[in-house]
Amino acid sequence: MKELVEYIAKALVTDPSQVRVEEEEKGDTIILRLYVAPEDMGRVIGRGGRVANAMRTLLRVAGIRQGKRVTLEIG
Amino acid sequence: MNGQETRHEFEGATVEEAIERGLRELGVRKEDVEVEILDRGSRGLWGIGARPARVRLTVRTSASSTVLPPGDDTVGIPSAPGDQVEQFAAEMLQGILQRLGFEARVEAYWGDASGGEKRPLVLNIEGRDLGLLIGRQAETLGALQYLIRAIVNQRVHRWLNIVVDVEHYRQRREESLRRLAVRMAEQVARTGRPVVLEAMPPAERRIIHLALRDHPKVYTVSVGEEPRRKVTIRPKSELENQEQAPVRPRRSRRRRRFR
Repeated sequence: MKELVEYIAKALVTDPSQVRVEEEEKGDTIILRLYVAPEDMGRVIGRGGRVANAMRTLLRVAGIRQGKRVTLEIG
Repeated sequence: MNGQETRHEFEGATVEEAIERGLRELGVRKEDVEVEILDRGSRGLWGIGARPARVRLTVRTSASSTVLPPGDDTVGIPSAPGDQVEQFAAEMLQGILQRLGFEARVEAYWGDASGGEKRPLVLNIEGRDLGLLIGRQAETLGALQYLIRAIVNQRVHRWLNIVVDVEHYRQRREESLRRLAVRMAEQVARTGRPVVLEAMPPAERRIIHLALRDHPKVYTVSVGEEPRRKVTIRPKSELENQEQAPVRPRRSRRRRRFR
């Protein structure tokens, strides 16, 4: 999960060295927190949150396969 | 290049684009370079005499220690594409699929231009048990496509129409939607009664609209709100008989649906 978000985020941003993902497991829920450089926030959120939502859609698929619910928070 | 100034020239549609491309290729920040504008470029007149903007970037000596080797910190992410956009896009998608836990191959090829658009770069995924990758109303496939477009278009600095497909699902779906459109149009023309199709995502509604664009006897409108928006195929004859076409089918007809 974490690797997936890291991989996508690093490909989207201008400063990959500032990309950090924290993963926390609470029961059957995995909480991911993505941090990027302030100037890259727009790139990982996207217009109307579309980039973030696309990542969430993929995480849901990855979650289904592991029987987990995944949430993604940014910033 | 140790301790020495390094100079590089870059081109882009605008000065900003040329600078940004240079920074990315050199792996440095804007503060680390001196920018010399060689040519502001010109859009030309209707594309005639257009020139790209050219800049020269000089990496400051003091900054040479902050120059990131390309690929550093981006483990597994293919390096910025030159002319091999296809390869870059395919590797990027492969990388995402792998991290999603799918064993799949990606083939990249240039598809046919349709609906007056540029030829799309098609990334077709082949493998086993990929139904999950399509998702309900192709939602997952759409998410993959959106991300790949965002990543690739940002890196190549031009807009490419990229289509992500799973085992040619989109292609097959498009063909079946076109057949459906023609069949339903025939029915509408014959009976003079409108037909409301099942709810579809925008890209699929578009296929129906385009398929019937030049039909002599019917026209199409989308009705309802996303994600339940539906294409309605209506007879053109009603346009002649009435001042205004009703936006919604009348109650007695509303239940007509295609499944």
